[in-house]
Amino acid sequence: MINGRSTRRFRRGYSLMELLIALGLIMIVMNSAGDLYRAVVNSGRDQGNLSNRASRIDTAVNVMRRDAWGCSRIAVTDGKSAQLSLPDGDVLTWRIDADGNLSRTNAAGAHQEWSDIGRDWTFARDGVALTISNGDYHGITAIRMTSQMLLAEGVR
Amino acid sequence: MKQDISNRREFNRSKSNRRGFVLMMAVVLVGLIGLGIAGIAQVCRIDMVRTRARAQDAQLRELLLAGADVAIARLANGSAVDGMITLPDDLTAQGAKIVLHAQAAAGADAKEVTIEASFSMHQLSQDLHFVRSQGAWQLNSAELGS
Repeated sequence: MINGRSTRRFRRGYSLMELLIALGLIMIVMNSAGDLYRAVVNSGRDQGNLSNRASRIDTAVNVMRRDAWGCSRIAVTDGKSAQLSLPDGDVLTWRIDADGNLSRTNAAGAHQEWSDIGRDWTFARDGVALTISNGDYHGITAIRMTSQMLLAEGVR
Repeated sequence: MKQDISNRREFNRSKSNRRGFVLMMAVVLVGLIGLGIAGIAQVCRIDMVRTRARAQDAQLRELLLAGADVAIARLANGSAVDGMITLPDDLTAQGAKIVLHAQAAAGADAKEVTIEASFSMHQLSQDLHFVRSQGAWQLNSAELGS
């Protein structure tokens, strides 16, 4: 049975304190939701950039690996450039500039470039291979490209 | 009595509205978290596929180097270059295979050897060009194929 006392439980409105608490809670939740939204959007954008960069690195390294495979001489001068001499007399110069752009130039001057992929890269020669070390990995060799020609010379 | 019922309805309505708001917020937050997890899973999947492909490529190149070693030795011995190379059992079990194909190039003192390597359903080849100089075969050029 509903009597006069019980009807007092159903209030017509809220006190100022309740409204302020509710508003505060809503603001905290909305702020967290906003942060979460930004994180999701940023991760999507970063994912696209990473995928694009990985694709460019793969292409460049694939070309460099083929050059190294067939080269009969590897000369690394300052860590930022490497010269690969092919048996047919062509000399391929791989260079990393200050902006991290990786370029390949042959003796005839034909030029290819992959932008912003090798900022921390360093070339070195390791026996019959050209290596690339990455600053991100504290100098640990990231990529090793063996020369079949130089290896065969060692075998002979 | 009427006032009391009206109050109760109002209370229930406001309670229902609050539930709707909370539910909506929960769905939005769960959706955002789901999108984030899906994005991370996608990156992990792409990285996994890429890493596996690089590992297989590295193994194939090792097989090609081994094939070249055998080809050079066979040429030096004067034996037939063509044929399959016997590999250790653990490599064979993983689908590794090296096949050599030799053919005469321009002139009697030149030879072209194609080495085909297979590993785990993937293939890679290289072409070696040999020339005979002072009675010995020397590798003149090497081209990594696809």
